Amino acid sequence: MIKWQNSFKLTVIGFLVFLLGLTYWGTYSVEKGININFEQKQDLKFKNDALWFDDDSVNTIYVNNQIADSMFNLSPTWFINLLDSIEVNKTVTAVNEMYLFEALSKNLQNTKYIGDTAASIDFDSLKYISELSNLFWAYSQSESKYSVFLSSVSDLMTAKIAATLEYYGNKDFNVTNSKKFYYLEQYCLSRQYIVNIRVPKIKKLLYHISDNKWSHILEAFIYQTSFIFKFTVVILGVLFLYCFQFTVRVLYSQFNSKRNDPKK
Amino acid sequence: MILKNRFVLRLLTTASFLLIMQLSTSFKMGVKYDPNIVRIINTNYGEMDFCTIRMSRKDDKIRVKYFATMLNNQTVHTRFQRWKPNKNLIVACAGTYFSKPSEGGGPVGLCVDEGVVVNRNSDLSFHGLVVVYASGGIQVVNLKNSIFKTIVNGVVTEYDIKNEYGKNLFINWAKSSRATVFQTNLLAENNINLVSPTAISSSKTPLAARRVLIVTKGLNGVEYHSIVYTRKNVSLYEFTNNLLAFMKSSQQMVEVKFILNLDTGAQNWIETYDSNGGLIKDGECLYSHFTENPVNLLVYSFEQ
Repeated sequence: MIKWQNSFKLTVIGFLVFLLGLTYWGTYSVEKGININFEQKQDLKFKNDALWFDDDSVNTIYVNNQIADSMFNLSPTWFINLLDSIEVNKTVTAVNEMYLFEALSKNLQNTKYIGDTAASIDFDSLKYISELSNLFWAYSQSESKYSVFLSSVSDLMTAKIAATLEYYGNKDFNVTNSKKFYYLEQYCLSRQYIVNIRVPKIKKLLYHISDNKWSHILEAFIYQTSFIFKFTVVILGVLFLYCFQFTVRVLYSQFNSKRNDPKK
Repeated sequence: MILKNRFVLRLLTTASFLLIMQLSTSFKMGVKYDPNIVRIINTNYGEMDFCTIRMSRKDDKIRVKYFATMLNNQTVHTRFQRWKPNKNLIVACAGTYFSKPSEGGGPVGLCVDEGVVVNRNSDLSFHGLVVVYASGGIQVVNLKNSIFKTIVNGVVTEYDIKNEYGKNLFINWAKSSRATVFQTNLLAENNINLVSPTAISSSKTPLAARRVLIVTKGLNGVEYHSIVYTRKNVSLYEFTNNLLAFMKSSQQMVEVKFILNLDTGAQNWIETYDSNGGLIKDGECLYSHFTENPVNLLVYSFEQ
């Protein structure tokens, strides 16, 4: 037989564990402090030896190792000069731009940080890429001649930042609590790139509770959870209710007995 | 005396005639859409209930409008409420998925709202790209293996959205033509179920109520758009299979061009209107407000 004192303790402990669980899983704890200290990175290198593209319609354009090496800084002016030099000899600018872009995007896929899926997120390199992306974007807004090309290069980089954040954010939601992560996510948003990170179920539950979506919670519990989860929740619920009603009954009877006490 | 009575009788007859005329005109004016073009069908097929709002694209009377996100500090619901007066509404329901709804996120995948870019981050796992023209027309593209084609200044122009360069050109086009663009799951294309059968038991496609937008071609060669909803909790694979069979046999459609998934999760929101413009409130499949603020809305209306 469970003593009433024990059942009362169980009720209180159960309730506290439930509240603590909600607080722990539901809190969005962003790192403390105001400053965000990124390390300066400027070592973005192409893994491929050269940037090249070859097509009959635009003749053969080959950018050798030396030129590729000079692209460490991926400067927009370098591309503008290259496109200008191509245009002198060729006729259709859009075609040239497209081929150059394809070659560049293939190379960018192979660059360190952009193409790699490293074991841990390298915020400092992503910050450097965001600066480059911003630079290309700024040029695309002022350079009307190659605007589409320059904004596409910028988009290629921003898309990579967003994809990296999504990859690590979905792998471990705690990464999103980092200030550097937040900064980069905000950068993506400023470029109209919404970083799509799956919200953990416990946070979704809290959101639905605050929005009074009880029928959706019940439906999700019935149809979207495993048998073991349902079984555990039902057993814990029954135990909690049993202890709760037991405690209430004992307290009520004690209160009544005190009230009916003839000595009183 | 007799003359006076005759005069009163004539007066009453004329008044009654005018009243009947007025009533019939009012009734005609009250009709918001042609029930021959828009049909609401509630039926069971293969142990599944299907609530269908089927709209014929014949004579180009059906218009589509998509509210992708909050704009100018106005929620999607407010924008819809401000837009809807003087419109002959047929159905309005929640559209595509949304990321981080509790923290003000945004629509998942490439999204442009009437020429305003909302999200440039295209999600290539969502193969259905929906383009709603400013004129109210709609085009669907399978991003996995096709490119978007449209006519620009009388010339057929192609945009490969998988490529950032092509995507930039496409966004520029969407901005200049005030088009609306969004991405969602493409469940079927050209009569073929694209949902993996192995996904039946997967936790990625749990059992849930489903709502979709279907583009079909009827026996008469006319294109139909249908919003179909089932309250039964089913897997995506089972639902798509049953729906393909339902469209072909029960609805006598020659071709199911596309089936696009619509969100029924946290924003399970739909309003359906009868042909007189009244809001249908009976039946959860035609009317449900799970939330006061749907985060995006797909709206069909009728142009007289």
